[in-house]
Amino acid sequence: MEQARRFDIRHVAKLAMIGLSPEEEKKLQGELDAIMEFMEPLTRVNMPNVEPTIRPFSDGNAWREDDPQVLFSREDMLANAPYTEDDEYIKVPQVLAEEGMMQ
Amino acid sequence: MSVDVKRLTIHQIADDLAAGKYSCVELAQFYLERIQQVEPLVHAFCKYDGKDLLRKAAEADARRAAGKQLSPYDGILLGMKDNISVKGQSCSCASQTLLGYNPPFNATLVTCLESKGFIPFGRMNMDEFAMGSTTRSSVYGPTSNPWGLEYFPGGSSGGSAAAVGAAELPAAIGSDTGGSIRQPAAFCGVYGLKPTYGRVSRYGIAAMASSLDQGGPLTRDVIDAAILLESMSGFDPLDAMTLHDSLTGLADAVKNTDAGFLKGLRVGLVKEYMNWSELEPACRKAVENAVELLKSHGAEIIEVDLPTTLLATQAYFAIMMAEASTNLERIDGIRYGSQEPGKRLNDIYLNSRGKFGENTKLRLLAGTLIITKQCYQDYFVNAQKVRTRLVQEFREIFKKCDILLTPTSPTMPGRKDAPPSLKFQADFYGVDCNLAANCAISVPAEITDDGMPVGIQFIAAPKKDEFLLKMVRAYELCRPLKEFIPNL
Repeated sequence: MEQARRFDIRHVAKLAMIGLSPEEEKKLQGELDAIMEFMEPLTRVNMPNVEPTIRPFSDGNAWREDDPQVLFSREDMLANAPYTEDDEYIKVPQVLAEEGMMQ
Repeated sequence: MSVDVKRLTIHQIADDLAAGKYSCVELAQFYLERIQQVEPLVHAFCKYDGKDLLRKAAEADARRAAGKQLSPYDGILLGMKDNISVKGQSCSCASQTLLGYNPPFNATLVTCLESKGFIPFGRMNMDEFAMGSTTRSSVYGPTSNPWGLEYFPGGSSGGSAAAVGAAELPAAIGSDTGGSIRQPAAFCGVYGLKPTYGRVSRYGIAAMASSLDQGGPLTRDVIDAAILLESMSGFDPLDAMTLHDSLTGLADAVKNTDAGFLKGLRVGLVKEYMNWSELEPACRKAVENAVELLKSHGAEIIEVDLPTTLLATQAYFAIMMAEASTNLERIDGIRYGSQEPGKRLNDIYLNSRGKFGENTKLRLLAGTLIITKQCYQDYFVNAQKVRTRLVQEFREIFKKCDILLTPTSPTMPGRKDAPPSLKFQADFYGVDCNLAANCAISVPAEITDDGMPVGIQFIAAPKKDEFLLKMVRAYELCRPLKEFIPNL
């Protein structure tokens, strides 16, 4: 019998940018295995001449004039940000590892 | 005066308001009293603002007094699932990660309903980010089923369904990605309509799986479903997938349908659905009884095959989780929602997104995995091919029949205190319609000896929403049981 595929939850969590505690890692690894096992029959689908469906149904393309529109004011857009500065910017902490060091 | 809110529908309220039986403010008070009475037991709301409701109801009364009502429905309150944006109201998708978020805009469906005078009232409980079928994964705590408080109401639109079932509201709006309107509607003894994909604009409904998501009403009868669908559907420049035709006149057309509509109707029964091993006897019996009823009114029953449905739940999960994982990348704790501390930007992302519930995390992780290079072809693309095959099979089926009759859920609602489990089967009768863009509705059919309601599902081809609702109106008129009111 074919060996079930294993996927490393730590690697996936890093890609998904989701912090997991060690307990969660252990628990969710088992559940991720179960969910991938449930979907495993998809890997045996053999439909070489079938096109994948991205949208189930469409009424044709929707065109509009290429005019820029302002839907929201800056004030509206900043109102929900947890940290802002000078009512103009969203504030975030240091992005680069150390001053002057590009990583 | 006092009114029995348990028996009120939108069209009844509209008639009463027009006849001056009560005012919009009195109507609001009837419901606020009912909420005070049963909400501690049901817990269908995340939040609500009674003062805001009374203020808006007074405005509606003033418009009526001046002969300037916006429609016959001006001043009627509606619940909104907590993933639908209403300007000035919180919208958390029942997630800790979005606590404190107040959208600066209305969802298009809300703008449409407000233009008719409907009052968006209350944030209805749901599974976190609409992922689930029990309404137990909400940051606000679980909702109870009004027909048996120890049972869950279904999900993810469980708060919307429970509130309408418990008569805390005349109707509510939910969203359906794989049965999330229809299954809780069945569990709570109300009507739940998933319109054709694109019928209702998705703009302002927090995106979960964009190729599957659709908003729709939960109501106490089919005329109300038609009223709300007519009011909130239509082309929206802000959602390129919306359909171009309008449903003007839908509610009247449904109201004027009689039982004669069933004569000669070709009703399909899908063999794979009826033969499925997980189908519980009560859910099967409700369909079988409906078959006999439809036959006795002149409908023709045709058995049809849908072989690809046996892979559709797998395909649904692959597509839903992949789309959800990309849609929910926007939840980062920076621009809106709740931020967890972190030394660097990356730490903020990890810590803030670490506050997703376990169920949500699992689905986002699996979705992320499915679209990695390692899995993309085998899982995601193959799922989309299964989807194509399913669409083709439905197309063939709808050449032979006008409508399909199926169970809504394979099971009756489970107990709230049962341990959560990875049960993919719960969605078996729901997901096909989202994958294939069909319109579908869950209709209360029976009440079991234990006193729980059972729903059945009718499905029509894409864009046949009017036909579907007319057919259900005819069924409703023939159905032996007329009232679905819990003992609460």
